[in-house]
Amino acid sequence: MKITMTIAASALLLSTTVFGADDVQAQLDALTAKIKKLEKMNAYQNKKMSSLNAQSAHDNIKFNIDFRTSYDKIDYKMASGTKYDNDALFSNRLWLGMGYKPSETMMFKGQIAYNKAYGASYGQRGTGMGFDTFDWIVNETLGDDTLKLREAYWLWTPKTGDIGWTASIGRRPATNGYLINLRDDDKAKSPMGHIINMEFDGASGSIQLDHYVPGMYVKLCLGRGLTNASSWASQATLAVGSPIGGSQYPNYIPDPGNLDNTDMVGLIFKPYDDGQYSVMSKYYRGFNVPGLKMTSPTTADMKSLGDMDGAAISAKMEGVGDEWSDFLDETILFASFAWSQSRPDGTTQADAMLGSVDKESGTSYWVGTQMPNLTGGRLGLEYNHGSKYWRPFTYGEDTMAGSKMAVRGDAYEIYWTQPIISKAFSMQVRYTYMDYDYTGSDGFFGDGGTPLTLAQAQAEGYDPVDTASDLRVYFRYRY
Amino acid sequence: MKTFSKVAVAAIIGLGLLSTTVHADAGKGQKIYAKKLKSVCEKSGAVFAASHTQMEWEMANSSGELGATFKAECPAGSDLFDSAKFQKKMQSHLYDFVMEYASDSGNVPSC
Repeated sequence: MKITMTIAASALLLSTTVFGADDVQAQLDALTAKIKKLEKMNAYQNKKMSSLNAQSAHDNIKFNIDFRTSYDKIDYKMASGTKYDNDALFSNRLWLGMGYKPSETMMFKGQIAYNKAYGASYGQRGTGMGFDTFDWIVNETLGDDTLKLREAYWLWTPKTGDIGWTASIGRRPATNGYLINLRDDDKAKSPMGHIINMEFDGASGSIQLDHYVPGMYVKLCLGRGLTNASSWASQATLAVGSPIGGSQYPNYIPDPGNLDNTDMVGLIFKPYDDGQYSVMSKYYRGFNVPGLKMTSPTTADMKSLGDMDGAAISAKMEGVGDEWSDFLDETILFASFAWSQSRPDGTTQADAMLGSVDKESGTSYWVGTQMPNLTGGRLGLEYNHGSKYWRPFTYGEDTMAGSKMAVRGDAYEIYWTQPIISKAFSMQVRYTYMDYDYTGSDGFFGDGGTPLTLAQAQAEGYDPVDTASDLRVYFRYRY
Repeated sequence: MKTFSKVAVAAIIGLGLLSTTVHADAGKGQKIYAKKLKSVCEKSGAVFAASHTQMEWEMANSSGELGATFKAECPAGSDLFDSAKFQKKMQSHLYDFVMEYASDSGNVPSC
Protein backbone atom coordinates (compact mmCIF):
# COMPACT_ATOMS: atom_id res chain seq x y z
CA MET A 1 0.00 0.00 0.00
CA LYS A 2 2.71 2.34 1.01
CA ILE A 3 4.70 1.47 -2.10
CA THR A 4 1.61 1.86 -4.25
CA MET A 5 0.85 5.21 -2.70
CA THR A 6 4.44 6.26 -3.17
CA ILE A 7 4.42 5.13 -6.78
CA ALA A 8 1.07 6.86 -7.34
CA ALA A 9 2.29 10.05 -5.68
CA SER A 10 5.47 10.01 -7.70
CA ALA A 11 3.53 9.49 -10.89
CA LEU A 12 1.24 12.36 -10.00
CA LEU A 13 4.15 14.62 -9.12
CA LEU A 14 5.96 13.70 -12.27
CA SER A 15 2.92 14.30 -14.44
CA THR A 16 2.34 17.67 -12.73
CA THR A 17 5.95 18.69 -13.29
CA VAL A 18 5.84 17.63 -16.91
CA PHE A 19 2.49 19.30 -17.40
CA GLY A 20 3.85 22.60 -15.65
CA ALA A 21 7.04 22.65 -17.71
CA ASP A 22 5.01 22.28 -20.90
CA ASP A 23 2.77 25.11 -19.81
CA VAL A 24 5.70 27.36 -18.95
CA GLN A 25 7.44 26.50 -22.21
CA ALA A 26 4.28 27.28 -24.14
CA GLN A 27 4.00 30.57 -22.38
CA LEU A 28 7.65 31.31 -23.03
CA ASP A 29 7.22 30.44 -26.69
CA ALA A 30 4.17 32.67 -26.90
CA LEU A 31 6.00 35.50 -25.17
CA THR A 32 9.01 35.10 -27.44
CA ALA A 33 6.76 35.22 -30.48
CA LYS A 34 5.05 38.33 -29.11
CA ILE A 35 8.38 40.01 -28.43
CA LYS A 36 9.58 39.23 -31.92
CA LYS A 37 6.36 40.65 -33.32
CA LEU A 38 6.67 43.78 -31.16
CA GLU A 39 10.28 44.25 -32.18
CA LYS A 40 9.27 44.03 -35.81
CA MET A 41 6.47 46.54 -35.28
CA ASN A 42 8.80 48.83 -33.41
CA ALA A 43 11.40 48.71 -36.14
CA TYR A 44 8.72 49.39 -38.75
CA GLN A 45 7.31 52.32 -36.75
CA ASN A 46 10.77 53.78 -36.18
CA LYS A 47 11.42 53.59 -39.88
CA LYS A 48 8.08 55.17 -40.66
CA MET A 49 8.58 57.97 -38.14
CA SER A 50 12.05 58.61 -39.38
CA SER A 51 10.91 58.85 -42.98
CA LEU A 52 7.98 61.08 -41.91
CA ASN A 53 10.39 63.23 -39.95
CA ALA A 54 12.75 63.57 -42.87
CA GLN A 55 9.94 64.00 -45.36
CA SER A 56 8.16 66.75 -43.48
CA ALA A 57 11.47 68.39 -42.70
CA HIS A 58 12.63 68.20 -46.31
CA ASP A 59 9.37 69.11 -47.96
CA ASN A 60 9.16 72.50 -46.37
CA ILE A 61 11.35 75.54 -46.53
CA LYS A 62 12.96 75.88 -43.13
CA PHE A 63 13.03 79.45 -41.87
CA ASN A 64 15.30 80.93 -39.28
CA ILE A 65 15.07 84.30 -37.61
CA ASP A 66 17.86 86.69 -36.72
CA PHE A 67 16.46 89.88 -35.24
CA ARG A 68 18.79 92.48 -33.81
CA THR A 69 18.15 95.78 -32.07
CA SER A 70 21.15 98.09 -31.86
CA TYR A 71 22.13 101.29 -30.18
CA ASP A 72 25.04 103.16 -31.76
CA LYS A 73 26.94 106.18 -30.53
CA ILE A 74 28.93 107.54 -33.46
CA ASP A 75 31.56 110.26 -33.21
CA TYR A 76 33.58 111.97 -35.93
CA LYS A 77 36.42 114.41 -35.41
CA MET A 78 37.31 116.34 -38.53
CA ALA A 79 40.75 117.59 -39.52
CA SER A 80 39.70 121.12 -38.54
CA GLY A 81 38.82 119.95 -35.03
CA THR A 82 35.10 120.15 -35.68
CA LYS A 83 33.21 117.29 -34.07
CA TYR A 84 30.03 115.56 -35.13
CA ASP A 85 28.21 112.92 -33.15
CA ASN A 86 25.04 110.95 -32.98
CA ASP A 87 24.64 109.70 -29.44
CA ALA A 88 21.26 107.99 -29.85
CA LEU A 89 21.03 106.01 -33.07
CA PHE A 90 18.64 103.09 -32.60
CA SER A 91 18.02 100.57 -35.34
CA ASN A 92 16.41 97.21 -36.01
CA ARG A 93 17.75 94.57 -38.38
CA LEU A 94 15.90 91.44 -39.46
CA TRP A 95 17.42 88.52 -41.36
CA LEU A 96 14.84 85.94 -42.37
CA GLY A 97 16.85 82.93 -43.47
CA MET A 98 15.50 80.16 -45.69
CA GLY A 99 16.79 76.71 -46.47
CA TYR A 100 15.48 73.77 -48.41
CA LYS A 101 17.28 70.49 -49.11
CA PRO A 102 15.28 68.33 -51.53
CA SER A 103 18.09 65.80 -51.88
CA GLU A 104 21.43 64.89 -50.36
CA THR A 105 23.39 66.85 -52.98
CA MET A 106 21.20 69.84 -53.71
CA MET A 107 20.08 72.63 -51.43
CA PHE A 108 18.67 76.13 -51.65
CA LYS A 109 19.57 78.88 -49.22
CA GLY A 110 18.26 82.41 -49.06
CA GLN A 111 17.90 85.38 -46.83
CA ILE A 112 15.62 88.38 -46.96
CA ALA A 113 16.37 91.34 -44.77
CA TYR A 114 15.59 94.79 -43.60
CA ASN A 115 17.72 97.24 -41.66
CA LYS A 116 16.18 100.47 -40.46
CA ALA A 117 16.66 103.26 -37.97
CA TYR A 118 13.77 103.72 -35.60
CA GLY A 119 10.85 105.68 -36.95
CA ALA A 120 10.53 107.62 -40.16
CA SER A 121 13.14 109.11 -42.45
CA TYR A 122 12.20 112.52 -43.80
CA GLY A 123 13.90 112.42 -47.17
CA GLN A 124 17.19 111.12 -45.71
CA ARG A 125 17.63 107.38 -45.77
CA GLY A 126 16.42 104.73 -48.20
CA THR A 127 15.12 107.26 -50.73
CA GLY A 128 16.43 105.19 -53.65
CA MET A 129 18.28 108.26 -54.94
CA GLY A 130 21.43 107.96 -52.86
CA PHE A 131 24.40 105.63 -52.60
CA ASP A 132 22.92 104.18 -49.41
CA THR A 133 20.71 102.00 -51.60
CA PHE A 134 23.55 100.85 -53.87
CA ASP A 135 23.17 97.13 -54.47
CA TRP A 136 26.48 96.25 -52.81
CA ILE A 137 25.30 97.43 -49.38
CA VAL A 138 21.54 97.70 -49.67
CA ASN A 139 20.93 95.52 -46.60
CA GLU A 140 23.87 96.78 -44.59
CA THR A 141 22.88 100.46 -44.51
CA LEU A 142 19.90 101.92 -42.68
CA GLY A 143 17.05 102.00 -45.18
CA ASP A 144 13.29 101.71 -45.12
CA ASP A 145 10.74 99.08 -44.01
CA THR A 146 10.86 97.02 -47.19
CA LEU A 147 12.27 93.52 -47.12
CA LYS A 148 15.00 93.02 -49.68
CA LEU A 149 16.82 90.00 -50.96
CA ARG A 150 20.18 89.56 -49.30
CA GLU A 151 21.05 86.04 -50.43
CA ALA A 152 19.43 83.45 -52.70
CA TYR A 153 21.33 80.58 -54.28
CA TRP A 154 21.25 76.92 -54.98
CA LEU A 155 24.20 74.76 -54.08
CA TRP A 156 24.99 71.42 -55.66
CA THR A 157 27.46 69.18 -53.84
CA PRO A 158 28.17 66.04 -55.86
CA LYS A 159 31.05 63.69 -55.19
CA THR A 160 33.33 61.78 -57.52
CA GLY A 161 35.03 59.06 -55.54
CA ASP A 162 36.83 60.82 -52.71
CA ILE A 163 36.64 64.25 -54.31
CA GLY A 164 33.76 66.57 -53.53
CA TRP A 165 32.61 69.34 -55.83
CA THR A 166 30.34 72.31 -55.41
CA ALA A 167 28.55 74.52 -57.90
CA SER A 168 26.31 77.41 -57.02
CA ILE A 169 24.54 80.31 -58.73
CA GLY A 170 22.59 83.17 -57.24
CA ARG A 171 22.89 86.16 -54.94
CA ARG A 172 25.98 85.18 -53.08
CA PRO A 173 26.70 84.79 -49.35
CA ALA A 174 29.40 87.42 -49.81
CA THR A 175 29.28 89.34 -46.54
CA ASN A 176 30.61 88.35 -43.09
CA GLY A 177 33.40 86.20 -44.50
CA TYR A 178 36.45 84.56 -42.96
CA LEU A 179 37.70 86.36 -39.85
CA ILE A 180 35.38 89.39 -40.04
CA ASN A 181 32.60 87.03 -38.88
CA LEU A 182 34.19 86.71 -35.43
CA ARG A 183 33.38 90.23 -34.27
CA ASP A 184 29.84 89.86 -35.64
CA ASP A 185 29.28 86.52 -33.89
CA ASP A 186 28.29 84.92 -37.20
CA LYS A 187 29.40 81.79 -39.01
CA ALA A 188 31.91 82.69 -41.71
CA LYS A 189 30.49 83.00 -45.19
CA SER A 190 32.35 82.48 -48.42
CA PRO A 191 34.80 85.35 -49.00
CA MET A 192 37.81 86.56 -47.03
CA GLY A 193 36.59 89.38 -44.83
CA HIS A 194 39.86 91.30 -45.13
CA ILE A 195 39.21 92.10 -48.81
CA ILE A 196 35.61 91.29 -49.79
CA ASN A 197 32.52 92.13 -47.77
CA MET A 198 29.61 93.21 -49.94
CA GLU A 199 26.54 91.81 -51.64
CA PHE A 200 26.67 90.73 -55.27
CA ASP A 201 25.18 88.26 -57.68
CA GLY A 202 27.19 85.54 -59.31
CA ALA A 203 28.37 81.97 -59.15
CA SER A 204 30.98 79.76 -57.61
CA GLY A 205 32.44 76.33 -58.11
CA SER A 206 34.88 74.46 -55.96
CA ILE A 207 36.79 71.24 -55.70
CA GLN A 208 37.19 69.76 -52.24
CA LEU A 209 40.54 68.11 -51.74
CA ASP A 210 40.35 67.39 -48.02
CA HIS A 211 40.69 63.70 -48.65
CA TYR A 212 44.34 64.46 -49.47
CA VAL A 213 45.11 67.43 -47.22
CA PRO A 214 42.86 68.38 -44.26
CA GLY A 215 40.45 71.15 -45.23
CA MET A 216 41.98 71.85 -48.63
CA TYR A 217 39.81 73.27 -51.38
CA VAL A 218 39.99 75.56 -54.40
CA LYS A 219 37.04 77.76 -55.27
CA LEU A 220 36.43 79.96 -58.29
CA CYS A 221 34.03 82.86 -57.66
CA LEU A 222 32.41 84.97 -60.35
CA GLY A 223 30.27 88.00 -59.73
CA ARG A 224 28.57 90.83 -61.51
CA GLY A 225 28.45 93.88 -59.28
CA LEU A 226 26.74 96.14 -61.79
CA THR A 227 24.66 95.51 -64.92
CA ASN A 228 24.34 98.11 -67.68
CA ALA A 229 20.87 97.56 -69.13
CA SER A 230 18.20 100.17 -69.82
CA SER A 231 15.05 99.88 -67.80
CA TRP A 232 11.75 98.60 -69.09
CA ALA A 233 10.06 101.34 -71.16
CA SER A 234 13.23 103.41 -70.84
CA GLN A 235 12.47 105.42 -74.00
CA ALA A 236 9.07 106.44 -72.63
CA THR A 237 10.69 107.35 -69.32
CA LEU A 238 13.09 109.62 -71.22
CA ALA A 239 10.29 111.07 -73.28
CA VAL A 240 8.30 112.26 -70.25
CA GLY A 241 11.37 114.00 -68.88
CA SER A 242 12.03 111.80 -65.88
CA PRO A 243 15.31 112.91 -64.21
CA ILE A 244 16.46 109.32 -63.88
CA GLY A 245 15.84 105.94 -65.49
CA GLY A 246 15.28 107.07 -69.07
CA SER A 247 17.33 106.01 -72.07
CA GLN A 248 17.15 106.26 -75.85
CA TYR A 249 17.76 102.54 -76.04
CA PRO A 250 15.07 99.83 -75.97
CA ASN A 251 14.27 97.73 -72.90
CA TYR A 252 17.31 96.17 -71.23
CA ILE A 253 19.85 97.20 -73.88
CA PRO A 254 23.22 98.50 -72.59
CA ASP A 255 23.52 102.29 -72.66
CA PRO A 256 27.04 103.35 -73.70
CA GLY A 257 26.57 106.56 -71.74
CA ASN A 258 26.14 104.66 -68.49
CA LEU A 259 28.60 102.67 -66.38
CA ASP A 260 30.04 99.47 -67.87
CA ASN A 261 29.19 96.09 -66.40
CA THR A 262 31.31 95.61 -63.28
CA ASP A 263 32.48 92.05 -62.98
CA MET A 264 34.65 90.23 -60.50
CA VAL A 265 36.53 86.98 -60.66
CA GLY A 266 38.24 85.52 -57.65
CA LEU A 267 40.13 82.39 -56.75
CA ILE A 268 40.05 81.16 -53.17
CA PHE A 269 42.59 78.56 -52.10
CA LYS A 270 42.42 77.01 -48.68
CA PRO A 271 45.60 74.99 -48.35
CA TYR A 272 44.94 73.66 -44.85
CA ASP A 273 42.31 73.42 -42.14
CA ASP A 274 42.45 70.72 -39.48
CA GLY A 275 39.85 72.32 -37.25
CA GLN A 276 42.50 74.07 -35.14
CA TYR A 277 44.97 75.56 -37.61
CA SER A 278 43.68 77.04 -40.86
CA VAL A 279 45.12 79.12 -43.67
CA MET A 280 43.14 80.79 -46.43
CA SER A 281 44.18 82.81 -49.45
CA LYS A 282 42.45 84.65 -52.25
CA TYR A 283 43.21 86.58 -55.41
CA TYR A 284 40.61 88.61 -57.27
CA ARG A 285 40.23 91.10 -60.06
CA GLY A 286 37.35 93.55 -60.33
CA PHE A 287 36.69 94.71 -63.90
CA ASN A 288 35.34 98.18 -64.85
CA VAL A 289 35.08 99.42 -61.29
CA PRO A 290 33.25 102.75 -60.97
CA GLY A 291 34.26 105.97 -59.27
CA LEU A 292 33.34 109.62 -58.87
CA LYS A 293 35.03 112.08 -61.20
CA MET A 294 34.74 115.69 -60.09
CA THR A 295 33.28 117.93 -62.77
CA SER A 296 33.50 120.98 -60.50
CA PRO A 297 34.52 121.56 -56.85
CA THR A 298 31.01 120.51 -55.78
CA THR A 299 29.69 118.21 -58.52
CA ALA A 300 30.74 114.82 -59.82
CA ASP A 301 29.83 112.12 -62.32
CA MET A 302 30.17 108.38 -61.93
CA LYS A 303 32.47 106.75 -64.47
CA SER A 304 33.92 103.29 -65.17
CA LEU A 305 37.63 103.73 -64.60
CA GLY A 306 39.54 100.48 -64.81
CA ASP A 307 40.26 97.28 -62.93
CA MET A 308 41.15 96.59 -59.33
CA ASP A 309 43.25 93.65 -58.17
CA GLY A 310 43.48 92.32 -54.66
CA ALA A 311 44.82 89.42 -52.68
CA ALA A 312 45.05 88.26 -49.09
CA ILE A 313 46.44 85.47 -46.97
CA SER A 314 44.92 84.85 -43.55
CA ALA A 315 45.69 82.36 -40.81
CA LYS A 316 43.69 81.39 -37.76
CA MET A 317 44.41 79.27 -34.71
CA GLU A 318 41.28 77.98 -32.93
CA GLY A 319 42.65 76.81 -29.63
CA VAL A 320 46.19 77.57 -28.53
CA GLY A 321 48.26 74.43 -27.94
CA ASP A 322 46.80 70.99 -27.32
CA GLU A 323 44.66 70.97 -24.16
CA TRP A 324 47.12 73.13 -22.22
CA SER A 325 44.16 74.75 -20.47
CA ASP A 326 40.45 75.27 -20.99
CA PHE A 327 41.06 78.98 -21.54
CA LEU A 328 43.62 78.43 -24.28
CA ASP A 329 41.52 75.65 -25.86
CA GLU A 330 38.79 78.22 -26.46
CA THR A 331 41.05 81.12 -27.52
CA ILE A 332 41.28 82.15 -31.15
CA LEU A 333 44.27 84.01 -32.62
CA PHE A 334 44.43 85.27 -36.17
CA ALA A 335 46.56 87.33 -38.52
CA SER A 336 46.00 88.49 -42.07
CA PHE A 337 47.91 90.37 -44.76
CA ALA A 338 46.31 91.87 -47.86
CA TRP A 339 47.27 93.83 -50.96
CA SER A 340 45.37 95.84 -53.55
CA GLN A 341 46.37 97.44 -56.85
CA SER A 342 44.55 99.81 -59.16
CA ARG A 343 44.77 99.35 -62.95
CA PRO A 344 43.39 102.51 -64.59
CA ASP A 345 42.16 102.30 -68.18
CA GLY A 346 42.98 105.89 -69.02
CA THR A 347 46.19 107.90 -69.10
CA THR A 348 44.87 111.33 -68.18
CA GLN A 349 43.70 112.78 -64.89
CA ALA A 350 40.17 112.72 -66.27
CA ASP A 351 40.35 108.93 -66.02
CA ALA A 352 42.57 108.62 -62.93
CA MET A 353 41.84 105.90 -60.38
CA LEU A 354 42.38 106.81 -56.73
CA GLY A 355 43.81 110.13 -57.98
CA SER A 356 46.53 108.51 -60.11
CA VAL A 357 46.97 107.37 -63.71
CA ASP A 358 49.57 104.83 -62.59
CA LYS A 359 48.99 101.42 -61.05
CA GLU A 360 48.99 102.12 -57.33
CA SER A 361 49.44 99.41 -54.69
CA GLY A 362 48.32 99.40 -51.10
CA THR A 363 48.66 96.93 -48.25
CA SER A 364 46.95 96.13 -45.01
CA TYR A 365 47.65 93.90 -42.05
CA TRP A 366 45.21 92.72 -39.39
CA VAL A 367 45.63 90.86 -36.13
CA GLY A 368 43.16 89.82 -33.50
CA THR A 369 42.14 87.47 -30.76
CA GLN A 370 38.90 86.21 -29.32
CA MET A 371 38.91 84.54 -25.95
CA PRO A 372 36.42 83.14 -23.47
CA ASN A 373 35.60 85.16 -20.43
CA LEU A 374 34.20 84.14 -17.07
CA THR A 375 30.66 84.92 -18.14
CA GLY A 376 30.52 82.18 -20.77
CA GLY A 377 30.81 84.92 -23.39
CA ARG A 378 33.62 85.98 -25.69
CA LEU A 379 35.98 88.95 -25.49
CA GLY A 380 37.61 90.13 -28.71
CA LEU A 381 40.45 92.51 -29.55
CA GLU A 382 41.42 93.50 -33.09
CA TYR A 383 43.82 95.89 -34.79
CA ASN A 384 44.34 96.62 -38.46
CA HIS A 385 46.43 99.08 -40.44
CA GLY A 386 46.05 100.18 -44.05
CA SER A 387 48.51 102.06 -46.26
CA LYS A 388 47.99 105.06 -48.51
CA TYR A 389 46.50 103.33 -51.56
CA TRP A 390 44.87 100.44 -49.70
CA ARG A 391 41.45 99.72 -51.19
CA PRO A 392 39.40 96.60 -50.45
CA PHE A 393 35.78 95.84 -51.36
CA THR A 394 34.49 95.91 -47.78
CA TYR A 395 31.65 98.42 -48.12
CA GLY A 396 29.18 95.97 -46.59
CA GLU A 397 31.07 95.61 -43.32
CA ASP A 398 28.86 95.94 -40.26
CA THR A 399 30.42 99.13 -38.87
CA MET A 400 28.14 102.14 -38.86
CA ALA A 401 30.96 104.70 -38.89
CA GLY A 402 32.58 103.17 -41.99
CA SER A 403 34.48 99.99 -42.86
CA LYS A 404 37.34 99.53 -40.39
CA MET A 405 39.02 97.07 -42.79
CA ALA A 406 39.19 99.84 -45.41
CA VAL A 407 40.99 102.27 -43.08
CA ARG A 408 44.02 104.02 -44.53
CA GLY A 409 45.43 104.42 -41.08
CA ASP A 410 44.78 102.45 -37.91
CA ALA A 411 41.67 100.80 -36.52
CA TYR A 412 41.27 99.40 -33.02
CA GLU A 413 38.40 97.36 -31.74
CA ILE A 414 37.25 95.66 -28.56
CA TYR A 415 34.03 93.72 -28.14
CA TRP A 416 32.24 91.47 -25.69
CA THR A 417 29.62 89.05 -26.95
CA GLN A 418 27.45 87.41 -24.31
CA PRO A 419 24.79 84.72 -24.67
CA ILE A 420 21.92 85.54 -22.33
CA ILE A 421 19.28 82.87 -22.92
CA SER A 422 20.84 79.71 -24.39
CA LYS A 423 21.76 80.26 -28.03
CA ALA A 424 18.62 82.19 -28.86
CA PHE A 425 19.24 85.56 -27.20
CA SER A 426 22.51 87.39 -26.87
CA MET A 427 24.00 90.81 -26.47
CA GLN A 428 27.16 92.55 -27.61
CA VAL A 429 29.01 95.67 -26.63
CA ARG A 430 31.56 96.80 -29.19
CA TYR A 431 33.82 99.82 -29.49
CA THR A 432 35.56 100.61 -32.77
CA TYR A 433 38.04 103.47 -33.18
CA MET A 434 39.47 104.52 -36.55
CA ASP A 435 42.33 106.96 -37.02
CA TYR A 436 42.74 108.04 -40.64
CA ASP A 437 46.13 108.97 -42.11
CA TYR A 438 44.69 109.64 -45.58
CA THR A 439 41.39 110.55 -47.14
CA GLY A 440 39.27 108.29 -49.34
CA SER A 441 39.25 105.15 -47.19
CA ASP A 442 35.65 104.28 -47.85
CA GLY A 443 35.28 105.86 -51.28
CA PHE A 444 34.83 104.29 -54.67
CA PHE A 445 37.64 104.12 -57.20
CA GLY A 446 37.81 107.62 -58.65
CA ASP A 447 38.48 111.01 -57.13
CA GLY A 448 36.52 110.07 -54.01
CA GLY A 449 39.19 107.49 -53.28
CA THR A 450 42.16 109.81 -53.72
CA PRO A 451 44.51 109.48 -50.73
CA LEU A 452 45.46 112.93 -49.49
CA THR A 453 47.01 113.56 -46.12
CA LEU A 454 44.68 115.51 -43.90
CA ALA A 455 46.87 118.59 -44.33
CA GLN A 456 46.80 118.25 -48.13
CA ALA A 457 43.03 117.88 -48.07
CA GLN A 458 42.63 120.94 -45.89
CA ALA A 459 44.93 122.91 -48.22
CA GLU A 460 42.52 122.06 -51.05
CA GLY A 461 39.58 123.38 -49.06
CA TYR A 462 38.28 120.09 -47.67
CA ASP A 463 37.67 119.13 -44.06
CA PRO A 464 38.11 115.36 -43.99
CA VAL A 465 37.44 112.96 -41.14
CA ASP A 466 40.45 112.61 -38.83
CA THR A 467 39.05 110.01 -36.40
CA ALA A 468 35.78 108.11 -36.15
CA SER A 469 34.41 105.88 -33.42
CA ASP A 470 31.37 103.71 -32.97
CA LEU A 471 30.15 102.37 -29.64
CA ARG A 472 27.47 99.79 -30.30
CA VAL A 473 25.27 97.74 -28.01
CA TYR A 474 22.95 95.17 -29.47
CA PHE A 475 20.42 92.59 -28.32
CA ARG A 476 19.91 89.78 -30.75
CA TYR A 477 17.36 86.99 -31.09
CA ARG A 478 18.24 84.01 -33.28
CA TYR A 479 16.27 80.88 -33.87
CA MET B 1 40.39 109.25 -26.76
CA LYS B 2 37.44 110.94 -25.11
CA THR B 3 36.71 110.17 -21.46
CA PHE B 4 33.43 108.53 -22.43
CA SER B 5 35.24 106.26 -24.84
CA LYS B 6 37.81 105.29 -22.21
CA VAL B 7 35.03 104.47 -19.78
CA ALA B 8 33.28 102.42 -22.48
CA VAL B 9 36.43 100.41 -23.15
CA ALA B 10 36.99 99.85 -19.45
CA ALA B 11 33.37 98.78 -19.04
CA ILE B 12 33.68 96.24 -21.81
CA ILE B 13 36.77 94.72 -20.22
CA GLY B 14 35.32 94.90 -16.74
CA LEU B 15 31.89 93.54 -17.62
CA GLY B 16 33.64 90.69 -19.37
CA LEU B 17 34.36 89.16 -15.98
CA LEU B 18 30.88 88.13 -14.77
CA SER B 19 29.54 84.55 -14.84
CA THR B 20 26.83 82.44 -16.48
CA THR B 21 26.28 78.76 -17.14
CA VAL B 22 27.59 77.13 -20.30
CA HIS B 23 25.07 75.31 -22.48
CA ALA B 24 25.69 72.37 -24.81
CA ASP B 25 26.33 73.74 -28.27
CA ALA B 26 26.12 72.05 -31.66
CA GLY B 27 28.62 74.54 -33.02
CA LYS B 28 31.13 73.53 -30.34
CA GLY B 29 30.35 69.92 -31.12
CA GLN B 30 31.15 70.54 -34.76
CA LYS B 31 34.49 72.09 -33.81
CA ILE B 32 35.27 69.19 -31.46
CA TYR B 33 34.62 66.76 -34.28
CA ALA B 34 36.70 68.75 -36.76
CA LYS B 35 39.65 69.06 -34.36
CA LYS B 36 39.68 65.75 -32.59
CA LEU B 37 37.83 63.18 -34.67
CA LYS B 38 37.65 63.95 -38.36
CA SER B 39 41.11 62.65 -39.17
CA VAL B 40 40.89 59.54 -36.95
CA CYS B 41 37.34 58.65 -37.98
CA GLU B 42 38.16 59.33 -41.64
CA LYS B 43 34.72 60.72 -42.33
CA SER B 44 33.19 64.15 -42.26
CA GLY B 45 31.12 65.35 -39.34
CA ALA B 46 28.04 65.32 -41.54
CA VAL B 47 28.54 61.63 -42.34
CA PHE B 48 29.21 60.81 -38.70
CA ALA B 49 26.08 62.59 -37.53
CA ALA B 50 23.93 61.13 -40.27
CA SER B 51 24.85 57.57 -39.30
CA HIS B 52 21.78 57.55 -37.04
CA THR B 53 18.37 59.12 -36.84
CA GLN B 54 17.54 61.64 -34.17
CA MET B 55 15.53 59.00 -32.27
CA GLU B 56 18.45 56.60 -32.32
CA TRP B 57 20.86 59.20 -30.99
CA GLU B 58 18.33 60.25 -28.37
CA MET B 59 17.72 56.67 -27.24
CA ALA B 60 21.44 56.03 -27.04
CA ASN B 61 21.87 59.13 -24.90
CA SER B 62 18.98 58.40 -22.55
CA SER B 63 20.04 54.77 -22.05
CA GLY B 64 23.65 55.69 -21.28
CA GLU B 65 24.84 54.10 -24.54
CA LEU B 66 25.96 57.30 -26.27
CA GLY B 67 29.65 56.61 -25.80
CA ALA B 68 29.26 53.09 -27.12
CA THR B 69 27.35 54.41 -30.14
CA PHE B 70 30.08 56.93 -30.84
CA LYS B 71 32.65 54.16 -30.62
CA ALA B 72 30.66 51.94 -32.96
CA GLU B 73 30.69 54.71 -35.60
CA CYS B 74 34.32 55.56 -35.02
CA PRO B 75 36.32 52.77 -33.34
CA ALA B 76 39.54 54.72 -33.85
CA GLY B 77 38.20 57.44 -31.57
CA SER B 78 37.64 55.06 -28.64
CA ASP B 79 40.48 56.47 -26.55
CA LEU B 80 38.97 59.92 -26.77
CA PHE B 81 35.42 58.75 -26.14
CA ASP B 82 36.57 56.83 -23.03
CA SER B 83 38.53 59.74 -21.60
CA ALA B 84 37.20 61.57 -18.56
CA LYS B 85 37.81 64.91 -20.27
CA PHE B 86 35.63 63.98 -23.23
CA GLN B 87 32.80 62.70 -21.08
CA LYS B 88 32.90 65.73 -18.84
CA LYS B 89 33.49 68.53 -21.33
CA MET B 90 32.85 67.43 -24.88
CA GLN B 91 30.21 64.69 -24.99
CA SER B 92 27.21 66.98 -24.52
CA HIS B 93 28.39 69.28 -27.33
CA LEU B 94 29.05 66.37 -29.68
CA TYR B 95 25.60 65.00 -28.85
CA ASP B 96 24.04 68.35 -29.74
CA PHE B 97 25.93 68.28 -33.02
CA VAL B 98 24.86 64.76 -34.02
CA MET B 99 21.24 65.55 -33.12
CA GLU B 100 21.40 68.69 -35.25
CA TYR B 101 22.64 66.79 -38.30
CA ALA B 102 21.17 63.33 -37.79
CA SER B 103 19.95 61.57 -40.92
CA ASP B 104 16.35 62.71 -40.44
CA SER B 105 16.88 66.09 -38.82
CA GLY B 106 16.04 67.89 -42.05
CA ASN B 107 18.47 70.63 -41.10
CA VAL B 108 20.12 72.35 -43.98
CA PRO B 109 23.86 72.58 -43.31
CA SER B 110 25.57 75.92 -43.46
CA CYS B 111 27.67 76.50 -46.53
